[in-house]
This record gives sequence, structure tokens and C-alpha cells, in this order.
Amino acid sequence: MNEDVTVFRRELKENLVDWLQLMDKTADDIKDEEPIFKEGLGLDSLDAVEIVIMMQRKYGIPQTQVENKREIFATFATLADFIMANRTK
Amino acid sequence: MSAAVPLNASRGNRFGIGFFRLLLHCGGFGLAVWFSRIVTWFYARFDRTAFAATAEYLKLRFPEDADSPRRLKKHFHRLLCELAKMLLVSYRAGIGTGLPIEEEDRHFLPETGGVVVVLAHCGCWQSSMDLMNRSSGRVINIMAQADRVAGMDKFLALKDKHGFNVISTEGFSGGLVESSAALERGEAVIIMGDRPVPGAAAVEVPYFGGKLAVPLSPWLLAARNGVPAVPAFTDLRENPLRVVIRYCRPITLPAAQERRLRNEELVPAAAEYVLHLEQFARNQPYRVFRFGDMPSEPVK
Repeated sequence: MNEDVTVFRRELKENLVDWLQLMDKTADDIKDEEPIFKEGLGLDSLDAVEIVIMMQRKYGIPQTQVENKREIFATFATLADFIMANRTK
Repeated sequence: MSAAVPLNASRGNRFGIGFFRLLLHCGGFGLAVWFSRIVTWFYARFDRTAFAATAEYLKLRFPEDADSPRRLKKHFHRLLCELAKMLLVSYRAGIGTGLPIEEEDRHFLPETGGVVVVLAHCGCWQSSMDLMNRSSGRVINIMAQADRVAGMDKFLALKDKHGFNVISTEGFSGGLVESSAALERGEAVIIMGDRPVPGAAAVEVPYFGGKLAVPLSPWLLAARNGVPAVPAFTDLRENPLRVVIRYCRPITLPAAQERRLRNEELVPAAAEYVLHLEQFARNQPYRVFRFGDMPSEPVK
């Protein structure tokens, strides 16, 4: 994994913890290959909306670009890769 | 809290539906409604499961009769009569011979841009889809459970005819990501605000001295997309017979934040909405069709 990816993933983990107010977690607790929802980070459907809003505001990715693309949200790594490839800011 | 009972999945049969269709075609709406009173009397007399599913609501709505099974049964029968009438209205709408539909307080619905319309299982709510599609000038989406319930199957079958999209509540986000994207596109999203789908984030708020579990999703979607959340209720009015959809003042939503909105920040919006539900139930107590896990124990 190149350094840019590592740095971006770290930044995204910190943004997720901050935005979602994950009080009992730190960026280190989010594993790259861990599912984001339910059994993984334990996020729910309201958190899903918050993630797409965060993607829109922090990374300039329109919500319409992620609808019906559930594979993006499979793991933290798939989410990070998608944002990195599609971010406009 | 008791388990939800999918009443419409197990009530009615092909013969009965066919009979009422024939009655509507040959004898008209009035005769079909009159005959439905006889049929519903049998349900009121013998359908203990249906009675149990409605009893909690009826006890809260009619506390003076809560200790009298006989009087509760009378309320139950009136509720079933109204339900049958609403089903007949909806069926007529489905076959293109629906009643005239009017709007009240339309100014609460913005002319352009995204909007969350919060409907409830009250009155003839299915009939409102037709009007919204014709009059709103924007794409209409309705969030619906992919179907375990026969009644919903029949309703969703109308979507092509009436031109609204269905966003399934299945999947990791319960359809919320798709709904949020629709709002971003400036479309309308209709959500049933009086009952959460299983597993969805919900909150219990005061309702007739008891508590009612309602979803948080309408308020989150509206707040996060900066669009209004407009409660709407459909009802049947007489002289002349017509369907009226009444829009309410948009619900006050929490301000935008650069962080997740906490569930407790959405509770006031849910509570404000349930006041509208209570008002409808006060005016039309027999046209409230949210069965099953209605209210629970009284608020301490």
C-alpha cells in the first residue's frame, strides 16, 4: 500500500470517528477490512446517511454518486478507495 | 410491547375480494360499503387476533371504555367498518374510478426542491399517491418494506399506473441512502411516520398518555438535506364524497451540524409529529389503522 493511501485512510478514520461521534472508538479501532455496519463498527442506517453527507461535504462527492452502490459500504477499505478515487475536494 | 400483527396478510380471500369488486361495479360504492358492515360485524365478533391488535389503541383513545370489552368491541367494529370503506376507496383509485381528490393547505408543500412528506396509516392514505404524482410536479418516491404483506403487494402494483418510485427498506441503509440521494435531486420522498420498519432507528414518544414508537428517519433525512418535512393526512369527506389530503406546517428540525445528529436531537421533531397524529385520532378515531405494536405502557 502506498503512502498516499495510508495517509488518506488514517485521515478518513479520524473524520469518521469525529463526524459519527464514535465516543468509545478511536481511528486505531477501525480495521481496513472490517465491515462498517452491524457486526463490524456497529453502525446503523442513520449512520449510513451521515456517512454520505460527510462524503458530500468533506470530499465533494454527490449523494447521487453512491446510491444503489452498496458494495462501496462493504468494508472501511472499499469506502476509502471509493472516496479517494472520486473526491473533488 | 406486543409484536406487530400483519393483519391484512391473513384477512380477506380471493372470493371475498372478487365479490366486493362485483358489488362495486354493479351496485356502486354505497351498496359495497353497506354490505361491508355485515362482513366486518363477523370479524368484529370472531376475529380475536385482530381485536387484540387494535385493543391497545382503542383503550388509549377511549379510556372511559378501557375496562369494558363489550364497548371496546363496538369501537372495534366501527374501526373495521371504516377500514373496509377506505379499502374500497383505495380499490376504486386503483382501477381508475377513484373519488375526486382535493388538497388543503397546499402552501405548506414547497413548489420546488426536495421534500419529505410524512404520511401515516390513517384515512385513505393510499389514495394520496395519485394526487401527489399529478400535482407536485416532481418525482415521487415512497419508502416501503419489500413485501411480506399481501396488502402492500397490491398497493405497490399500482406504482406503474400512478407513476411513483418505490425505495425498498431492505439493505444495509434501509433505503435511507437512496432516499437521501432523491432529496438531493430535488425529489419528494414519502415515509410512513407512524410506524418504524423492523430494525430501524426509532424512538418512543408520548401518545394519548401511552407511548408510540415512531421512526427517526424522516427527520434525519430532512434535517441533513436541508429540506422541509411536511406531515400529510388523507381523509374521506362527504357531501360530496371526496378524498382530502391535508398538509401540515413543516416540522421544526435541528440545525445542520458538521457531525452526526444525535437521536435525542431528533426526538422533538418526532414528538411534534405525534401531536398531529393525536389530533387526527381525536377527530377521526376510527380511521387510525396502525395496528399491532401500537402504544405500550403509560408514560411514568
